[in-house]
Amino acid sequence: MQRHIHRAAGAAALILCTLSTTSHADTRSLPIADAHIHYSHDSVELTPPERVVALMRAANLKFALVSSSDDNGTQLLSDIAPDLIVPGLRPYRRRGETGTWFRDEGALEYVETLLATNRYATIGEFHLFGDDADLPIPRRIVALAVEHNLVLHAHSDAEAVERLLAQHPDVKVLWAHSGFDGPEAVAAMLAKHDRLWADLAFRSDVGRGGSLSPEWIALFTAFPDRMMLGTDTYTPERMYFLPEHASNARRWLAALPTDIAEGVAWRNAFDLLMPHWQANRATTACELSSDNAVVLSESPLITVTPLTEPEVSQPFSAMLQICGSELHNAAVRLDGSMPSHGHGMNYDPEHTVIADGDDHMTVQVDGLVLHMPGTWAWQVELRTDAGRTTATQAFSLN
Amino acid sequence: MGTWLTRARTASLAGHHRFGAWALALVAAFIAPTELKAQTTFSDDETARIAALGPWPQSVPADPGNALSGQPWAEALGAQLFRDTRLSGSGQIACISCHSPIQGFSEPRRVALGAKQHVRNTQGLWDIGLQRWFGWDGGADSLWAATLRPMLSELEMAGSIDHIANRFRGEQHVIDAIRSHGQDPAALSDTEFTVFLSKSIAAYLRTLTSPQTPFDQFRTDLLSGNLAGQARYPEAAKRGLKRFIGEANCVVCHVGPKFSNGEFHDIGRPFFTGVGQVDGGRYAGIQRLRQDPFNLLGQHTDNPSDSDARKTRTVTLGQSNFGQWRTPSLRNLSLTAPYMHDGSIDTLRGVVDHYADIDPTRLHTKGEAILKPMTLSDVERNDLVQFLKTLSVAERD
Repeated sequence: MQRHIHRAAGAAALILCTLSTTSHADTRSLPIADAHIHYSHDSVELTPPERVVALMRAANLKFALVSSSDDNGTQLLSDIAPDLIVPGLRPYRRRGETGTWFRDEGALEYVETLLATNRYATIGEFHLFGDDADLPIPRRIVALAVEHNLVLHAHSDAEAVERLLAQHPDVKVLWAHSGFDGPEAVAAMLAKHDRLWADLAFRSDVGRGGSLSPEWIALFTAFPDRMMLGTDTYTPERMYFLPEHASNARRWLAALPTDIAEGVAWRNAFDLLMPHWQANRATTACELSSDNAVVLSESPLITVTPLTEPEVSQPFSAMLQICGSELHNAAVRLDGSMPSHGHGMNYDPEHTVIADGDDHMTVQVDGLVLHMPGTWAWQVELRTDAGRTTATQAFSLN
Repeated sequence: MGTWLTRARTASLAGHHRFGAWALALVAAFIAPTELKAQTTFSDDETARIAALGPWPQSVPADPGNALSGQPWAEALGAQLFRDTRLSGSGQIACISCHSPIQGFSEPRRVALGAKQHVRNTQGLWDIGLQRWFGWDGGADSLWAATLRPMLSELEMAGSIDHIANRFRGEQHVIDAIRSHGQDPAALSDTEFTVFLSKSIAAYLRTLTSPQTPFDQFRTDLLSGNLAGQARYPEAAKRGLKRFIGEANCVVCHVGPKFSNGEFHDIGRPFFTGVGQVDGGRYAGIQRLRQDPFNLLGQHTDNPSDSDARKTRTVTLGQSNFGQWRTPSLRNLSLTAPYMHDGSIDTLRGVVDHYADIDPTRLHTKGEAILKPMTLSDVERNDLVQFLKTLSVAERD
């Protein structure tokens, strides 16, 4: 792609070229967070979850916010790719309830039942416009979002967004499709409401032709940490658009400075959604309900939980969790070794802090490769204001 | 043993049909007396370990960063280019010159002889698409980068990017292929043009999946309880297999269906390449990888995936990497003699002897603790050889 840009003769292209070789982002390998994926009943019938995950990985997604009608599709994906899926709870039992759910007690019961069973990061994406946002069922949804630490994912006009935000001082809204409003209108809303974020799902007007208009660049520059990407897989076929959607986004993100491009590509979604998701899923981690968690220390409680079953020489990811006190400013590293062989791994795995509180810390560790069968040991090094702690625990790999 | 195996290899050069029948006759003659002894059986644990050595074949993932991978037209073009001497600087060396199909895409020389004398043994190419790293030192992180390297290496094909591009720019079938990929050949730089050729060859190499072997058949028969089938697997091979997955610890590194963990180890082989000259193995490979403009972090990678490139970002370089070599697959081993990174062992029996009689003082005290001398009788050593031979297809059409 860059080749064609460099060979183009137009003045605008020359400016782009100059900028892209100085301060602008090389986005070719930029990971993407996709904040707008549905895997609804019709899609489940046509595409198995393993294929969906393969498409997401082919698109180089860092993670995906998935909400589905019904919720089954989201759970299917979460089961096989817990490192990739951030689940959202959609108040729809079937597709086609977009215009009725906010007056339907059954939809509310459905949401309450699932909230008692599963864990989520968001409620949505739901469709809600104008003063319908103040009807009893949407008001109850807002209350549930606050009670369960969930972000609202609203396909709404500006009026409904403002009505939702006004219902509780803690509620946050991810504005689906940025309301299909223009960049100036979106900027005005973001300036007015600091609890509002916006996704760009199904917005062909962003990055049309592989370049960004000055208005969109101005929006991303003014609000570098509030905008994020999304595909919107509203039909089963559209799941197969995930890789192209990501590639296309990388093309126009190249017009932005590196920091802003990374923010829109994944970091803004990460910063908004991951603290909610990890806090909600971590209530079980500190209680040690996971069967495959390896406990390295009881106090502080340090656990390593592989996200997929480790196999010899196959790269995998794990969650490293620490529950204790005075963890603010803590730094932590996970390593693996074979004590009886006198060596460890051949890779320095990548650590991403997902939740970082005073009494709880969650770190995703990617690129673990245990290249021989036998007895391995996890080793964790924890540095806090109080000093350095190490913990180790042996485990067997067959 | 050494003598007749060497002769068998020579015979295979003349005609591998004849070699298969002849070798089988020899094997039968050798194992016949031991067939009379007690039958070898496998415990549940051993059966599980054997199960983990299959099934075969495995599905081959796409070559990372290669948009041509899996495209039939690219595979066909790559198969032609694999045989094309014009890729080399002299116009006289093709990939196939050293990677001979009837020898498992390797050659009988100890070390390769390309444009100049090489210091490493030519590796076989069967099942290469299953590898994580490529080359004895893992200096390439994709099959297409591993394909480009010998084209440009002054020891091997000694081509150059501009010569290769210029030679093929007039080739209609190459131009058609590039156009069918949606690109304008004239707009490609020489580097991009040459990378396109290497990606086509890599697409072809990815299709080189080796067939099922007598071992695979035995594994199937063992798991399905087919006693008649199990009885057809030579008793000596069964004993060798038992030791391979058991006390000999071979399976610790030669693990899984491809009989390789894909990583790097020092097994106590010398790595001097001449007086005062040393081949640094994996250490040099990681350095080469990091400097390679064609690695998965570089600009010639198509659709770069964060998880594909993670290995390149995160691989560590340490003292112990000096003199480590990639664990090779053991499939089709009978075809690819001689053995080791420098071809310094002629026969499978020699390989077994190396491990059984390993010199612990060659290994660092912090080195691979599973490598210890074993007291093995002549028969026990040959059992391992007989097992290893069942990882190859003895006869092919």
